[in-house]
Amino acid sequence: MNDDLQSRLNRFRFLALVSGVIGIVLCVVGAFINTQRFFISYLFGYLFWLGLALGCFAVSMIHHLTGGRWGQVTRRFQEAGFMTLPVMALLFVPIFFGLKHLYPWAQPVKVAADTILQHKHAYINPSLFIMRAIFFFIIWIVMAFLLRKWSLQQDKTTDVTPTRRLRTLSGVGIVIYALTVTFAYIDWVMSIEADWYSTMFPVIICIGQILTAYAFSIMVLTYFSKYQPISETVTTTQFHHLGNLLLTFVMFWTYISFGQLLIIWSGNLPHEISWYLHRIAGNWKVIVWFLFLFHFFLPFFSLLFRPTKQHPRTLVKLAAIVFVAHMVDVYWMIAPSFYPTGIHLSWMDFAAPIGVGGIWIAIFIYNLKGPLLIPQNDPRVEYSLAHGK
Amino acid sequence: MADVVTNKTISPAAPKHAPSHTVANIKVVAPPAELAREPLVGNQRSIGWISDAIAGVAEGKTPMWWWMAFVPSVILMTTCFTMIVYLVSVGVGVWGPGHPVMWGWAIINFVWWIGIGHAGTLISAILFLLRQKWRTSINRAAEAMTIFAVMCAGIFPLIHIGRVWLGWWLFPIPNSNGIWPQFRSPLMWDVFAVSTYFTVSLLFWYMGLIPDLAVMRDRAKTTIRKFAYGLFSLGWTGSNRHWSNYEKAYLILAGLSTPLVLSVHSIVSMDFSVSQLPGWHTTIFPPYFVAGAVFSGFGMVLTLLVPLRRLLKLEDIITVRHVELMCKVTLATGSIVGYAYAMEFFIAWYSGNPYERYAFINRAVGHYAWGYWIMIGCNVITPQLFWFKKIRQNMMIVFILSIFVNIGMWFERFVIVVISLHRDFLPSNWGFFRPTWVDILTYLGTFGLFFTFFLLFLRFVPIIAIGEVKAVTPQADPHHPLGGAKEGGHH
Repeated sequence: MNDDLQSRLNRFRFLALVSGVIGIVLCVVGAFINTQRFFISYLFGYLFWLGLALGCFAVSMIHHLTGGRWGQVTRRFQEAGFMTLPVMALLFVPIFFGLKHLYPWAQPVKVAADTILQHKHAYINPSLFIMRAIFFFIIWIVMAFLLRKWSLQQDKTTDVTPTRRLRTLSGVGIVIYALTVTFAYIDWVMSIEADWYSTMFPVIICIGQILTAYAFSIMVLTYFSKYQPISETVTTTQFHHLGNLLLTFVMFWTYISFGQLLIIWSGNLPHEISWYLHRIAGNWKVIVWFLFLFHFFLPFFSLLFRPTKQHPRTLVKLAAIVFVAHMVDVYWMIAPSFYPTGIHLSWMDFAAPIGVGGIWIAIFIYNLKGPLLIPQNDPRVEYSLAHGK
Repeated sequence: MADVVTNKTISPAAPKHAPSHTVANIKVVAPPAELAREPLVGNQRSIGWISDAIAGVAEGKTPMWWWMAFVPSVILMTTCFTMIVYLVSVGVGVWGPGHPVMWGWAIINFVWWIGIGHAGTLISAILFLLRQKWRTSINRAAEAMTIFAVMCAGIFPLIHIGRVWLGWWLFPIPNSNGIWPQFRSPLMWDVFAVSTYFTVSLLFWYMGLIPDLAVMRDRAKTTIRKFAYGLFSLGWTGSNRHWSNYEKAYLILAGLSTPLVLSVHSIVSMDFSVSQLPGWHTTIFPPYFVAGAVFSGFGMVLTLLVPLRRLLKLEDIITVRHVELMCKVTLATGSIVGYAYAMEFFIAWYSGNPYERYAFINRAVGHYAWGYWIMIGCNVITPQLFWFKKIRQNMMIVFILSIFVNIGMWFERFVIVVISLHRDFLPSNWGFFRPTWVDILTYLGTFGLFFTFFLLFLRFVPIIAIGEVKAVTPQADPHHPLGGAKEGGHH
């Protein structure tokens, strides 16, 4: 890494850290002013950035399994992304103190009045919620450390053992990722609405995370492509492939989101439709239109064209749009449950994502600075470089 | 076969120690042996050999085994048509469905066959867009399978309407009664989805065939063959401009086919999921049906190609690596299907809805529990065996497991259709379902239809895309020692 980039990153990290700390301090102040409001905003801000970390986790495993030139130049970014998981685990702790502000099943009065909550109580109650969350984080962190460790080991040796280990772990890991995220997000998001359920919902979460990770990778890669050593390696091909992947996951997100809507709309059953009724009530409709335009319409139609994907400058704008749109999507999944009549913004809705995000980005940059930015000795990477141009 | 001789003088296709050079400050060497990819065409077969081997299948004397397969297939196909005539002349009452299971084998068979078709479209369209070169050895046969499977599937919805002669009412034609189809019904969308699917698949398949039909024309020894292949190869000369247009058209058709992989089976899944019936109404249905369709399709591709590669001596073109990769796709899609089963079950409990819960408990321990456990055994356990390389490389085991996949996916539709319908909300509305001999013979008959067409395809059309396979050989790569304008490059 050259000095110019190094000093820029240092400055960036400092800025991120400062805004992160300010955001967190503001959140703490907010928690004393309006406790429930703080937890809602914090859950939103936290889950968005956790989703990015988990998305990086999934994408790096996808790459270990499938190969492809796009992954070799972005792998270190994804690793730096999922290596935020230990700190993200610590940042989850505040949520343990806000269960009764967030979840109906944690409020004895509501449980007493609702037979469905009583039925679910054996599975979803404060102590099991906490235990499961700890369990999921342990699995994620152990796997993240192994993925990182072997990837860095491969830098130092031409022996292929680390790569083979990475592939084996990723095969099992992608299954574990799907299962853990499924049950984690049933606890953390689906259970916010007491009676609501949808088998598609965890899939929408997973795809959203992977989509965010691709958008993020494109943004970081574009920035780094101005500096050595990435500037010497990256070509339009990698951007083209990443653009295609972004398009694929934009389509996939739209497909499953629309599928869920269509099936619930046509069934029109009270326990199911209420989720959407809360999310289209009053000026929440503005958010729906926003998501339609920027989570689907604009990126979809722009990314269909090859020049868009081969031009990093255009591609990065679309990636940024998708990134922001997904943040709004996470907000839309959480906040309307508490404000089912319309948007109810608070300054904490900005403080929380900035606070968590600042810290996330500071750790991300810290993780980038150690190892070489382009993984070395990966047999398939070298093969693809030699034969792929 | 002429250039086998020249090959002897050429260095191996993947040199063990490629000279290391530097690209962007990184030392570049060939991958170590264990990570090197097996070549897509085995034994360094030459371009001439590829043409001979593939075209040879459709030339020469008809082998005995072909007749032994063809005659029973035609008999079965005739049975299918006889059953249809019987059904149309007597009425749909000759089938098993009745209250409360108003949808029986007809819809099961429809969904089963159409699901099988999805592997062909996935291979030809999505794997093309993903630049998966291994698809070239299997896409032609898989696309043919798609077309014949969709034909088998299409029979059932058409004849189950009862009065077949009014089938055209399904199309939005303003007829004299002023009756319009119900556009909000997924059954209506099915009509458009399936007919589009068939049309695009057929076009895609035929377009891909044109250069190979020209090869057949040029090799033909009789006037009739020359004329017939000449007619269908549309004057293909293999000129640069022809290939350029061909590649563009291929990309466009691949792009058009890609959404069809998702849309057709998503809409089929909505036939069930837009209702309110427990076991049908669940949001994961569209992607779960698509994964199941691809799963069953790859099962059928394996069932067909594993024995065929041996019978037709095409092991160097459809290599063990190809079979392994197909097993991996089966593993991935089978795992998604397993995930969906688990989610349905968990959410049925989580929902706290007694009807949902009952529907799933009834699947596992009710009257038709055997169907459910066959489904779990075949669809959840079978694909998990493909984690092991030893199993993926054992052709006999792969063949047997692929048949389990086919069986399992038929039972999945049986579970969804029959078990969900036979006990819904009201116990007074419960009942049983039993297929009649007409049901069984019609279904068996569609195998006859499928195999008759598939066997004819084997005998008359190159079953592997000759031109595409050649394009992934080392000879086609100008940077390869074997390729470009060097030895072996002048064919």
